[in-house]
Amino acid sequence: MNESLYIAATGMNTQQKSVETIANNLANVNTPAFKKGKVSFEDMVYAAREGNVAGTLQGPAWHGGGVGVFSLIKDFAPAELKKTDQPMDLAVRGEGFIEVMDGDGITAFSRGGALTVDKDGMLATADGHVLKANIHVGLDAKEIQIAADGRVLVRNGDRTELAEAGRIELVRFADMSGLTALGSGLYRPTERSGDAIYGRAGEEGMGTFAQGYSEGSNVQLIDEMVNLMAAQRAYESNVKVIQAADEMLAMSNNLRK
Amino acid sequence: MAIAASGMQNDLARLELISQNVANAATAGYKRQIPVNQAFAGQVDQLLAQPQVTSLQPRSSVIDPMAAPVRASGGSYDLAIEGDGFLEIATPEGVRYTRHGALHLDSSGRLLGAQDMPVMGLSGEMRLANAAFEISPTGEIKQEGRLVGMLKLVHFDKPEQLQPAGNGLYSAGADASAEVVSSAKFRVGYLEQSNVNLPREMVSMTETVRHFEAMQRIFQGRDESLEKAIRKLGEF
Repeated sequence: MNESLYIAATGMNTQQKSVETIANNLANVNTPAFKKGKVSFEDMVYAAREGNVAGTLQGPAWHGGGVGVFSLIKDFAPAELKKTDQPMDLAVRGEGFIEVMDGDGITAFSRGGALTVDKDGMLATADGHVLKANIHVGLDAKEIQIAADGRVLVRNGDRTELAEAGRIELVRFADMSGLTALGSGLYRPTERSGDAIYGRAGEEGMGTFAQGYSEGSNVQLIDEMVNLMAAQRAYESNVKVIQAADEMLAMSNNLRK
Repeated sequence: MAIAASGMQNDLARLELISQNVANAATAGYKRQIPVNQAFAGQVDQLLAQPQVTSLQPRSSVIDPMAAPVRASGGSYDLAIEGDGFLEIATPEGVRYTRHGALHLDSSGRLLGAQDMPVMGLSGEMRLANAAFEISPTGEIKQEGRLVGMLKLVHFDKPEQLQPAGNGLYSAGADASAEVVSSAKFRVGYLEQSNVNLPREMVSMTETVRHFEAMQRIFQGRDESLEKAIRKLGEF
């Protein structure tokens, strides 16, 4: 049977995946701290067919198996920081993640966002994940200041001066693109990303904290639209190949009228 | 009739190569495959020399080693090779070559290529500390300013005869000579795209379909004339 049909079908499948990734990126163009997905392809196995006939030919013909999705990774290019003037908005300027508890004692990593104080007086993300740094600010905190180096200063109750409640550390990875996204802005390390490397904000290539800022999405509308068009046209080309293969099969059925 | 049939077989194989190229129009580091047809005179000689070969099957393919455009990827471990040359990848099946330069580290600090297999430096596999690294345009791998390795780039005299092995990898035949390029140049932060040109593939696809159609007509015409001949002979 004609392989072309199946090869072109793999082409359509992968372009479909590409469009799905673009759709997800476009849908999150306004999601704070969203990191865009990137899909990459690989050409699939080859088989040599119709080898040399008595040493007269240059070489065998290499028949490929089409194309497959090789990896779907996140692009952690930093996005613009937007000033919100909300004291509970925390963003990381530059490289680095904040470690948070993700239930069951497992930690996950976040690029920041809106913080809250949970029912025990602990500093947590808006989704209720307590920061790994275990910073107790108390339920009567009137003012919270987070310095660029991660020190958290709190003014409780009727006090007039700020007291240090703890320090948030930053974390980075040898290969950020290997992190798996858990959704709602949380990531977990994988074999590929390597283990978390802890450090202080502002030191050894780590970013710094920016209180009162929120990180935008790093999706570039124009890039996505261009990629969408390219994927759509590539999909169309594969459709044309299928049509051509079909036409040729129909013709061979018509060999005997 | 046999000639028309083998021509049609040939067209089917050609369409297969085209479909492989079109499917990989967006695969980074993919090299277009070109069908190679033997000259007709050669085929005739071959048939004369070997009468038992009943069909013409001069199908073979080579890759088009032409460099593809590079595109900024933003990744600091992505590199595109400037000029010709291939990176060397150590796979369980032996040494393979690639133009796809998305590098990364595994958890033990080995420098891996895009295929999750070790990329070779001038002195074998490269082991780094499990931390961020930098790639210089000449292929030096640096970690915290310290030189930890040098990427190996090899050059082939006849890169078109490399055999595709899937996943952007190519294997060299036994008689291919790989020489190490002394002055390698890389563009960091870029990835080489596929060198498939969709309009060109569409043109050769149309050509192939029409050639197939012509062969089909020849076949039908021959069939009809045979039919006529048999009918005429039957009238006697």
